[in-house]
Amino acid sequence: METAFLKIVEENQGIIYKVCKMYRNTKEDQEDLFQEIVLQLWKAFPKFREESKISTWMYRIALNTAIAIFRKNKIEIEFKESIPKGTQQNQTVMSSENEERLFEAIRTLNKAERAIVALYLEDYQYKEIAEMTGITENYVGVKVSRIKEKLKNILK
Amino acid sequence: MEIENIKYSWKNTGKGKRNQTELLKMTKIKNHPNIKRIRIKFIIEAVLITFFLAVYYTGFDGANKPLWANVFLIISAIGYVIARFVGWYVLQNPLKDGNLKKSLIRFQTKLKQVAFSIMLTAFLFGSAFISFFTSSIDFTREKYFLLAGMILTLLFLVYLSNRNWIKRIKAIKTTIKEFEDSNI
Repeated sequence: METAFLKIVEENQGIIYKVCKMYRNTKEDQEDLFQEIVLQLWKAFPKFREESKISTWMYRIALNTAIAIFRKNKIEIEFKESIPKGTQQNQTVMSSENEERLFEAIRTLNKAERAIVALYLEDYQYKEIAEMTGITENYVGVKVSRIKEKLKNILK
Repeated sequence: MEIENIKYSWKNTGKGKRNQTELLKMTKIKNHPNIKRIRIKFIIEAVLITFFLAVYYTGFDGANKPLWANVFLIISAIGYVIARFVGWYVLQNPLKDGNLKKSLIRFQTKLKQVAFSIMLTAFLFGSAFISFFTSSIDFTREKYFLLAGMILTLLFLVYLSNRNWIKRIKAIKTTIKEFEDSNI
């Protein structure tokens, strides 16, 4: 079981990485959340049923963990509505400038919107997003078009 | 940046940065500094309270105090440790079946129950502690003032211990609201 689990997580670790970048501002917090998500996935793995996609299962747990786990004594950073290009040099050297700009833009959204946009960018159907988040399909559509508009404005 | 470019950036993010050995380490609680810290804090509290219960009877003349004060102190101390343990367990296991919104609603309900039980047991333990040490005192006016001061301090400490739970519950509540259709 351990081998199968590690293989799945290794192959799909991009999901965890992206969720961490969306929900935490600093490298240190992202690292802590990454570890936390892997642990929660490991705990949930015995109950994983093969009928759902691996990525769906991983997203559900990763998003749930990112939202539910409380960060103690951390200052919540308020992001501006537009991101100055000049600040990008201070960001992590491992990520590209585009990637950093994208995640900074996503972090301006509220937590529910971040979950929805992640699933949308991953090419999930509105119906699947609705099932995973618990909101109606129609509202997923409304929400996605508003989020797209917001992101376009921030990233223009 | 157009939406297709956003999708392209998104899909090319975070591939294969950690190997299986690193991931394996992350499945062990001993390698999680945050969880380890919370667990150590809980263990220290539990050990201190157990130690107190083991020595209080001889060390603080339990035999000279009324039976109810002894019983109240022991039961409330045990209740305090159990409530903290349940709280720690709930925090480490936030996941439930179902969609995100449902899962958060269930987690919020659990947090409320835990916060209440921790606040109640902390208050009861504090009250039992004060009762035990004041149960065989002949009260004067000054001593009543002192007792009132101790009770106020106790209430303040209970409030402080519950503050973080309230913050946690508020944060979850905000996100649940964001998932409500009316906010979309």
